[in-house]
Amino acid sequence: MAELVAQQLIVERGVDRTRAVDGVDLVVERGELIAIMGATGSGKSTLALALAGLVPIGAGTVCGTAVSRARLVLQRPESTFLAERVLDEVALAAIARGEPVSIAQRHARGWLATLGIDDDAMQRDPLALSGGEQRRVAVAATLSADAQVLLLDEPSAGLDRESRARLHEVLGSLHAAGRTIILVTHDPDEAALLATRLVVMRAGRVAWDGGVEPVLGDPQRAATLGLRTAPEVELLREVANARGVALAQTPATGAAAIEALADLLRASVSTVAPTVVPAGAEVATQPTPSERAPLPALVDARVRIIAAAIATGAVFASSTLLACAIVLACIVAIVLRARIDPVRLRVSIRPLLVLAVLLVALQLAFGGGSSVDLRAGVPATWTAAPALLRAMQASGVVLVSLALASSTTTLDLATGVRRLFSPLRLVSVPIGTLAFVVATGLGLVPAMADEFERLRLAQRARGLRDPRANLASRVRADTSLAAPLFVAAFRRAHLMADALAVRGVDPRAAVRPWRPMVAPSLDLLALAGGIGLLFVARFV
Amino acid sequence: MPLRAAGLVVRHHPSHPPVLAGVDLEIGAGELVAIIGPNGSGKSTLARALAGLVPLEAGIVDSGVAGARPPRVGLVLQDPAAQLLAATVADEIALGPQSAGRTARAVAGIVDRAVRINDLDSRWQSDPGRLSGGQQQRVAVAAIEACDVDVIVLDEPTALLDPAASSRFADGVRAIAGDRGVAWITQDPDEVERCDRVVVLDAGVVVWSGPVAEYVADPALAATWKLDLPATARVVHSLMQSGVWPRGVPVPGSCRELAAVLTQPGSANG
Repeated sequence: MAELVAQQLIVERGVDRTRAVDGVDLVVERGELIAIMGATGSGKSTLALALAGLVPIGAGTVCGTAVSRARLVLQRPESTFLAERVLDEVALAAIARGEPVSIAQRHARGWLATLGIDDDAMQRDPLALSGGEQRRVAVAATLSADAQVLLLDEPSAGLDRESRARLHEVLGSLHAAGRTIILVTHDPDEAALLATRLVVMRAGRVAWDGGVEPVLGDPQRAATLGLRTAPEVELLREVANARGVALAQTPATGAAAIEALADLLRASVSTVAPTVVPAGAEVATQPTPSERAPLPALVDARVRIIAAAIATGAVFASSTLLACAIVLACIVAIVLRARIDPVRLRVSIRPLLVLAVLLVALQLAFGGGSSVDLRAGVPATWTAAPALLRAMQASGVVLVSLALASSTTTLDLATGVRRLFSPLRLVSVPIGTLAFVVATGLGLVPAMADEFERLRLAQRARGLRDPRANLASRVRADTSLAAPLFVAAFRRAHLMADALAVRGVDPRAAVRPWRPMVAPSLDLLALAGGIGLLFVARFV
Repeated sequence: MPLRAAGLVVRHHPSHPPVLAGVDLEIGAGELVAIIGPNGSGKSTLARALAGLVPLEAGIVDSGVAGARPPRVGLVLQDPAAQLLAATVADEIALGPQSAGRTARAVAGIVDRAVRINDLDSRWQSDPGRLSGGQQQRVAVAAIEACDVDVIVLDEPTALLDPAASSRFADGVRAIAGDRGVAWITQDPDEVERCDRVVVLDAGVVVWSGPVAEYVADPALAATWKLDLPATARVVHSLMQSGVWPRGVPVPGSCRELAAVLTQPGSANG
């Protein structure tokens, strides 16, 4: 049996459940080096994620002898480093598998040496290394996770020539040693240089599966598949066509094309009539995703802030289970209507559950006013009711802040807060600065949800997280993300601050003018109904 | 207005060596300058230093004209998504002029012009987060242009775009320059030949600076800092070594021009 076999694979992604991978059949044999290419949005990264078992599969199967040992190096893997020392980073996977630390570290040293990381660099913080070194550390960390099939998503993006050449050398020698490698790349020269087989994705389907040269050596065929060949290859073809020379071979790498061009120019007779230089291939513009913004994005931030405050108030004011259930149902309806990414919802529901369990436990322990009579064998339903109420209230508050944060931009939040509380300026409260701090904090909530999900994906890609593991080890895996998440939060906050500063945004400056409310009448009706229901719920 | 940076020194940590160790740089009005260098040479830090986002240990960024105000510098970051802040394209572009205290009428005029010039007519009410990467970078550039800056620094704006989107973006950079100066930090050697001048940064200092024609004429120059030459220059130098391209004939400005030369009979053919 082959190492990886995908059959009629379908993967849906995003809020709109679009098919990023739409019926892919692929057989990966041992020792192959496959390049997966395609334009942005063609589904190549999603295919890599699916082959590594990192995204839920909609339909079809991925099987094969190496299906549990397919490991992925994510795009820009240096942003998902988990340890503070290079050696520990690479040893993590083996330690997680249960190997003794000393043996894991010895193996890690071996991998790092193979990838050209010296002893001095092994003792340093991975974030202190150069871009090229960081990329090689990430490859080593993935290889140490018992990787039979190594998948890499854009491994050379952002690297300079030397680092790229070094990485190519490493991949070449791993391939020569018999490892199966799948490379997702934009770079035609990289694919032509390394790959033994080319898979081209287009709109979620496999548009080409076969040799590298027939596509990357032929600019016309490449263009029909949505790709471009190396510029040297384009030049060679153009000159050959103009001179009426039929090329015997179709070199696909830049270097080979230059050689062929020199041969052609030396040999050809210059009696060909001058030709018009053909215009560059027009690249079709990409279809844009649906443009209609969800309701909350169309409503002024102040309305949203007030609605969130009312909802929070209603959650705490509802003193019976029924009232709270109605309020919660309204909030859930609004959140669903806001079309918040299900991934974000899932991420935020996890801490919510922890909170709920904690509150229920507290309520059971201290009774919250009603007595707990375990001796008399009273069923727990009566005492559980207030606990359930607290849990529902907590989930309501978390959902409200999530809905507010992910439907409102940082800037709108800041402006909204500033407008609402502007009277406080009379008593010298620095409301502008305060609004900005609050808004940036809330704006970071969805960003952090993304980062958290990405870090968890990186853990799974390296086999650090076993889906069948018990709760304790899963909690341990989550808590180990605290430090990298902290670093990521600072990075995101830093970028946000930079973006504001270059635009000359001053939190103390005059506020922006009113934005008129534009919303379809149905949505307005839904909003009014929702707010009305919240008020009704208060008096149930 | 031109920009002149003299003796810029930036240190991220007191005990670490400086990331920029005395950078001197000039960008004239209407000039398109490529800033290149290996990973870790200090390119992004230079971009932030020019935009005034990192404190300078030494050095000055001014216009080089006595008594003139310092030039306003705009910065376009690598990650298109990280720098977009507002809910619609129009708000995004309006943010800068509004922060500068322009009147509502002036802001509306600026947004209108920016939307037209940048081909965003059908998208001005869209959520920038839902646009493609290339369009997001166009919006980011339009938002910086609207801030009425004298010099724009592009920090690897095409690094996260696919080849088609990045060549479309690169095609528009000359138009961004107009009468402003543009510093274009890039990893892609083919983007260098679209510029007027090249500045090579290595270990925090400018190690070479000169016209693009001079940079591509000598393959030894790029090899010194382990940089790639543009494809056009790579082809020409290889052909020169094979004796097919006569020595002394300059490297054409682009692959397209080279193709035109090579497809004409009797030229560059020994």
